[in-house]
Amino acid sequence: MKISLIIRTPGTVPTQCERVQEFIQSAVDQGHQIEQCFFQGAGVAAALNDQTLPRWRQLATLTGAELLLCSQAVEAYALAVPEPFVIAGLGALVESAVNADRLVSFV
Amino acid sequence: MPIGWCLLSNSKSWLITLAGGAPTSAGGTGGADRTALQAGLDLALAAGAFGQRVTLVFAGDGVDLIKSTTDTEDPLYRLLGSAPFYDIDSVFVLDRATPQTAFRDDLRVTAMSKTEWLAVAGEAHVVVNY
Repeated sequence: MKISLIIRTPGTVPTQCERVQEFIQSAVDQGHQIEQCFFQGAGVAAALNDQTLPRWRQLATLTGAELLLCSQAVEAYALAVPEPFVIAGLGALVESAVNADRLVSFV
Repeated sequence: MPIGWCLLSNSKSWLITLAGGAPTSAGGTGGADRTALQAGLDLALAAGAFGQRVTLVFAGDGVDLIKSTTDTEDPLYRLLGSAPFYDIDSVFVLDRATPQTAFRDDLRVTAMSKTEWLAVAGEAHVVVNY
């Protein structure tokens, strides 16, 4: 099954972000494919948190998933964007949702 | 190939519910999370712009966006007013419609029960709550 994620978990709560990462690992272990992780709102800070960033890099390599940061949120938080993250708009999220079998949202 | 055909051939049904945050144990939400409302509304409009079939439902504190008493200069209120331009011609209000509730007159607002909401969620390809 092809799965895309919307991630809005705030970076101030690392355990929530780790839960998303555990979900991704479990999905891959069960043979599912992670198509895209779209970080929105406070989720962009979670993506770039010092504690979680190394794991995101590992998951990007493991899954080949796109790690997209909402352009509006990146601008609002004035963030620098390290690889493998990419800035994207909502059109990319819509496209991924259309192509995926499931869209899962974490808040 | 006509562009419109391309969009429609990938058209899915979306259920986007805007509540402005999760309810607390006290029943309320402690005020709407406007960031969440903005994100959800942006997604609804983007999906509409890409030819998706969007059912937009307001619940909890999100209902304020469709009340006639809301400040019409509020940016989110104005943004929602553009929904018909994205093929979102009607919006729904979840279990909060009473005969006394006055809704904005620039959108068609229809009441939806929780049973109906669950039925729509069961049929939709994409279900997202904000």
